[in-house]
Amino acid sequence: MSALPEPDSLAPTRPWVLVIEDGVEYVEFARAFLGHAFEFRYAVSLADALAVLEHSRSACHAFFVDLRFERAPLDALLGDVDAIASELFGGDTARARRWVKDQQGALILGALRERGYPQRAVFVHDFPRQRLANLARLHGDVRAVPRFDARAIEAALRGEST
Amino acid sequence: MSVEDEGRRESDETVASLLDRVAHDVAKRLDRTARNIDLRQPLSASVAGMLRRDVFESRLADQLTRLVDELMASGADASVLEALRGSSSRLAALRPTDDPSRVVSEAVAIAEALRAAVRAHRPAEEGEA
Repeated sequence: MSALPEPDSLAPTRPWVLVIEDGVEYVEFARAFLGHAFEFRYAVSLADALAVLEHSRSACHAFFVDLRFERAPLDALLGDVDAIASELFGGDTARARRWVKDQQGALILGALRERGYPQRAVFVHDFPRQRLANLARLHGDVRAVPRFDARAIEAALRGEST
Repeated sequence: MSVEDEGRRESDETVASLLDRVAHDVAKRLDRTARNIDLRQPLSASVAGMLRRDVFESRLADQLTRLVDELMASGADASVLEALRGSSSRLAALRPTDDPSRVVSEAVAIAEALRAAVRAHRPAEEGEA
């Protein structure tokens, strides 16, 4: 399990949200500015996220997901670079590696969906409208807030329209 | 499409991709704390520490400088380079000893300027805000 764990000795008194990122910026932000509304648990990879989800006593309320994983080593990331290079980039593995890092949050979300976790997912990213619509078509309840705006992110995690 | 058009399209995509990857992430980091601070209340030590790390210790100005170099090599137009240099200079001019209200307002304003640059250079089919 990753650093910055949320104590799980008691059932949470607030809904809990799983933060998925390769650093600590999201979870640090979330606990500082959204801790009144949610508890936050933290994962740095798909395996880590599944471990948290499977070992928690109560159901996760939502996912708070970083899109880009710049710092994680490539072998810790989800995605077969050679297959992606062949399918999307004409065999260019450098572009495929870049893509895997740039899309890691969406790849992890897709894998969570395949494993039966339908929770709302919130990204902090200024997506073009069509790209966000594509993500929602692929992954169900997906929302994006363009900046680290605590009120907007809280509303998105709650599923409120903004 | 002519060879020249094709080359221009590839250059535009590279510039858009670099901006989206670097300038967008710098903007996020810049206002992660600043945007959410309530200056009517005293800053807690933890929030003050977050603000200091985000604005002064994350080497964001260096990232913008490297981005300008990469964009120049990729054939970006002068307006975006000028905008990024301006943001980098404003960021470099901030000091940890400045009044927190100045740090906060500048960080948020620079972040918005960077987002505007990212949006302005998105490919046409993705150009909406």
